Amino acid sequence: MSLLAYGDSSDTEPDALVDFTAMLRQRQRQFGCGNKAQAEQADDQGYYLEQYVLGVLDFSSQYGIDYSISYTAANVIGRPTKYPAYGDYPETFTMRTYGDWWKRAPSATREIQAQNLPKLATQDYIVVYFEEFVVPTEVVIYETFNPGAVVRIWAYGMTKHWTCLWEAESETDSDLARPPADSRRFAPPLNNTAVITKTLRIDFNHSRLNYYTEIDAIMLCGRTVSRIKSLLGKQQRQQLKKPEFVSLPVAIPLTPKAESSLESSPISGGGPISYKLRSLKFQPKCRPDGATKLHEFINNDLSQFLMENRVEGGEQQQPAVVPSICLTDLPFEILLRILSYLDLKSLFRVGQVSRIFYDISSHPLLYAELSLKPYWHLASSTLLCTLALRATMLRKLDLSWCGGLGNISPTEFKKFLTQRGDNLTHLRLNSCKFLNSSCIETVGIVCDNLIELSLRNCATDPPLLNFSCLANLKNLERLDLFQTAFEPELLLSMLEGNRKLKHLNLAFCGVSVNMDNVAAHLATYNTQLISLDLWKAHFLSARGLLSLARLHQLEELDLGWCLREASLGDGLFQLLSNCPKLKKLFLSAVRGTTERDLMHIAALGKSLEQLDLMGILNITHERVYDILVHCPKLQLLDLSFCDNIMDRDFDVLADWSRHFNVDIKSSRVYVPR
Amino acid sequence: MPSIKLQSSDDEIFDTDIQIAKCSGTIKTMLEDCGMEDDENAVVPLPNVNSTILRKVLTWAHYHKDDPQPTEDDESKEKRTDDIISWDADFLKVDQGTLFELILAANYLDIKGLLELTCKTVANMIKGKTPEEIRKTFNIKKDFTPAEEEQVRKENEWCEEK
Repeated sequence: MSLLAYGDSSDTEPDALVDFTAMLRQRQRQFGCGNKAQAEQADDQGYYLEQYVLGVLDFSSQYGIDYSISYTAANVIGRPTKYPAYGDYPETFTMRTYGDWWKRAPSATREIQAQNLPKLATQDYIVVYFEEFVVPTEVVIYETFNPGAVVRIWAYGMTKHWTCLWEAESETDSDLARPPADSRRFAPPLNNTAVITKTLRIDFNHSRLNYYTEIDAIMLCGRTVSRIKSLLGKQQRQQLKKPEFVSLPVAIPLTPKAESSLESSPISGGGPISYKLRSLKFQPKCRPDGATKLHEFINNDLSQFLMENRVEGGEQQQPAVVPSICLTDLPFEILLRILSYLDLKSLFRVGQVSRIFYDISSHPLLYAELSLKPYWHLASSTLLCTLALRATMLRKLDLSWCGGLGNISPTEFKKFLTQRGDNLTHLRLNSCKFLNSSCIETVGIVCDNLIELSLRNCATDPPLLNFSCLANLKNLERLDLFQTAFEPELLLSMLEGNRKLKHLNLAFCGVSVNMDNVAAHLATYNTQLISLDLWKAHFLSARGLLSLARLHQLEELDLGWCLREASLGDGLFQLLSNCPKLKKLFLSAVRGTTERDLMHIAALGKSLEQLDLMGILNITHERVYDILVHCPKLQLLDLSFCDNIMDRDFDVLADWSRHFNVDIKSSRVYVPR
Repeated sequence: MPSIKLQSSDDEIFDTDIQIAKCSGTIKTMLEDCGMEDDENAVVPLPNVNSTILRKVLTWAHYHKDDPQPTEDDESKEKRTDDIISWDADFLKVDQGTLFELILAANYLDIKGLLELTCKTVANMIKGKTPEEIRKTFNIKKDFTPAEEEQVRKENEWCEEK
């Protein structure tokens, strides 16, 4: 993975997967003001281009493991390979979760500063890049299994800002519009922006989906920009440096050169004032900061101006009712309570209203929990500086997904942590690309009160996580190292040091860790463990399973794709007998599971709510029936790729699913009778 | 069903079901501490709540009388504001003055559910608005000095994307 592709050094990239056959010349659009430069620029307008993904820069999760070719993020590269076929294909990109099953499991966590979340929160994302910069006209996502998870599409522009090209409607609407179970070419209408991009981020929320969603390919369509023009546009933007500039209405004609950045905006856009100005051929000379000044005027002084000049707008004609008491008459603690419901952006905005609101909105109590994850595209070193002044009582911090493009420097992060990290109980740094070993060291030294540490997806190339200072932490109850490489020795010493550990996630931890050793350590030191995720971990054998069976408090165990040996001995029997609280058991592709093991599950799994038997070849529908009858709390049963279950059995299973009220999953595309 | 009498600041008497009145922590404590529970004729004076507001409060309490007791643990709750039920939303379609008085009453009477609801409602009136829109909505005057304003503007630069 290289960050290069975020920049504009497209010349250096290898052969592109550009769909040359699909290249079409598109007639140049005439710009409303009709200026003379138009004709000269005609040859420079670029052409329409459809291109597929050249590479993946980042992703939050994938079902497959990095060195595999099945269900990994890299499968979105290039043309669609399966579309228009519909079904469960390993050649696609699949994420780790679906539905709300993980939210309902014992290992579920609560969002930090949840008021920041949009209605349709992002659960997973992928960042991809393409060969050529274009002004996007269409983004096509080829969904080949359980479509409907895409909630936002972002473009990273040459201005080094992320722009949202499309966002799904709120939850209730999407529920109604849940797409049918068929493959589709998803191309939502894009917001009219003038962003020049070759890097996209797709946000997913799969909480409403019935099963895993699968993405075959992503296509970016748009008009190319010539080198000279794009450079000119870039210079313009650098002078202005204001993100507002991009979203200003077209009706403010800047210098003709700035057009390159605005040319995709519709000619007929804007309100009545825009129209009037165009018909007058109004073309004032603006200084470089003109746009900003105008924006400020509209935001801050327009109402004053209208009042002083007695311009009466529609709204002001209503008689102003002066209430008996005002918002500002409420006591401080009530105002504080009201503001505690605000998301971080609104909190900052209300601080701009007046002095008293500034004071209340910067009160430390409002910053005890802080999450910049929903603002990953806005988080910066400057913002961290501001927040450091306010968050003197900080307990929980989530900087996941932030700082991907150098917006947060490791130095600034360390400074923040040194100032505010000593009382932290919860720290989440998932997919934080700015982390280096010195940052991790600071975490270990400063944050010695941590109860939760989450470093999901922090593996970078080269591996930098020398965790040695983390051995200082002694109070951890939750440690999440999903998809992050670490030193096995260090992990063992951390397990030894954190006897209160309740939740441990080591999914995708790579080949350097001997899981039998980890299991033995857990059984010795971490007997309070409630959940353990070993998805796709290596070197776990029947011996390790026996160690895990000594963790009597276990409520959740994910052994998906572990335990590759033929026989499990009586490991599962021991586990089920010793861990009566087990609510979730994932045995995906644990091929050594026998008929007898399944009988043990039926006999002993009295608390089981979620059971995944995906890919267990010798399971028959009789055994399934036993489990359904004897596990009264079961809600989820995954039987995908259980080859012994015949097509005709699935009709029976569908009846049982209704009868026992258990959601039975199968990759088999179910055709209702 | 036993009832008690509540007296508003403007001397109106409200005959109220005792269970409904007890959703107010303040009234509950008064009744229990002063042993007024068995006294049919006892009058509880509420000098901080006028009859209009008290009537509203009791209407709300009546509708929510079967709600589970709100838990004390304020911190572990997600501070979401999109979970207001439609009856409550209709109930709070009132002018600002009434809304703020309801907040004060809920605070004084210690009715957690109502205080939470009313504060959320005000928060929703603030969310997503520009500073100028907030000033206009709540009739607030900007009183920053130019230097302060510049400082605040700088701190807010990150969130001015649209």
